[in-house]
Amino acid sequence: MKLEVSTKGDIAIFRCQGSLDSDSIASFKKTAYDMFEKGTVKYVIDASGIDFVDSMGLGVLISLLRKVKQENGDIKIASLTPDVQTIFEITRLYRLFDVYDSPREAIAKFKES
Amino acid sequence: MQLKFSIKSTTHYIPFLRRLVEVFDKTSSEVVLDHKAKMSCTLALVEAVNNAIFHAHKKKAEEWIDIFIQINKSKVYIEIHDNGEGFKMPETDVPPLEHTHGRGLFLINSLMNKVVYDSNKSNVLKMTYFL
Repeated sequence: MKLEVSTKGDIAIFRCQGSLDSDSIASFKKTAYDMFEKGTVKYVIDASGIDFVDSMGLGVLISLLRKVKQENGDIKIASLTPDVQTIFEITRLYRLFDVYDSPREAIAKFKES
Repeated sequence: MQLKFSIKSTTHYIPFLRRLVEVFDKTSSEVVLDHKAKMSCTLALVEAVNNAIFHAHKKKAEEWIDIFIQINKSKVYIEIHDNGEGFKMPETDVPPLEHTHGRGLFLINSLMNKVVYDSNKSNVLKMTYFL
C-alpha cells in the first residue's frame, strides 16, 4: 500500500492507495504510531484509494482509534470505496468510526469540535 | 475450472491471492462472476489464509498452506488446508466493535453461503459461494 501523509494544523491526513491487509499493515501502523508517539492524536484517513481491506486492516484502524481516544483524539475516515463500505456495513464499524464523503468534510468536523 | 497449489505460511502471497479470483474469472469461458462474487470470494480466501498463517501456524513461515479453488457455473468452492491446531468455529454474532481481532471468521461466514470446518484428519476450511 502506498501512503502519503500530510498535515493540516494538528490533523494528520493519511492518503492511502491500494490494499490495507495483513501484508501491508506494517507500514501503515509504523507511520501512524510514530506520529502518535510524537503527539498526533487527530487523523483523517482518505480511503478513496483503498480498494481492499481485510480484518487485519480493520484491526489496525481500531487499534489506532483506541490509542488516540485515550488522549482525547479521534480518527475520521473519508471517501470509502464501495467494497470497503460493504465491509464496514457487515462489521458495523460505522458505529465506531465517523465516516465522511470527503477528507474536507472530515477535517471540517475536527475543526468544529 | 480448478486450481490446486500450496504456499508457504507467510503474508507475502496475499497480493497474489487478492488477484486470483479475478484471474480465474477472466480466464474461464464457462463462468462470469459478478463483482459481489469476486469481492466476497477474494476476501474469504484472504481471511482463510490469514487464519492459517496467524492462528493455525502461529506465523511459522516454514509451514505449508494447501489451497484448492474450483469455479463452475453453479459455485465457487475454496478449500484451505493447514497443519496447525484446530479451532472451534466461532458464533456468527458480530464481534464487539472495539475488538481489534476476531473478525476474519465472521467475515467468511457473512460472505460465503456455506462454510464447513473439518478437523478430523487435518484441518480443512471449506467455503462455498453459490452463483
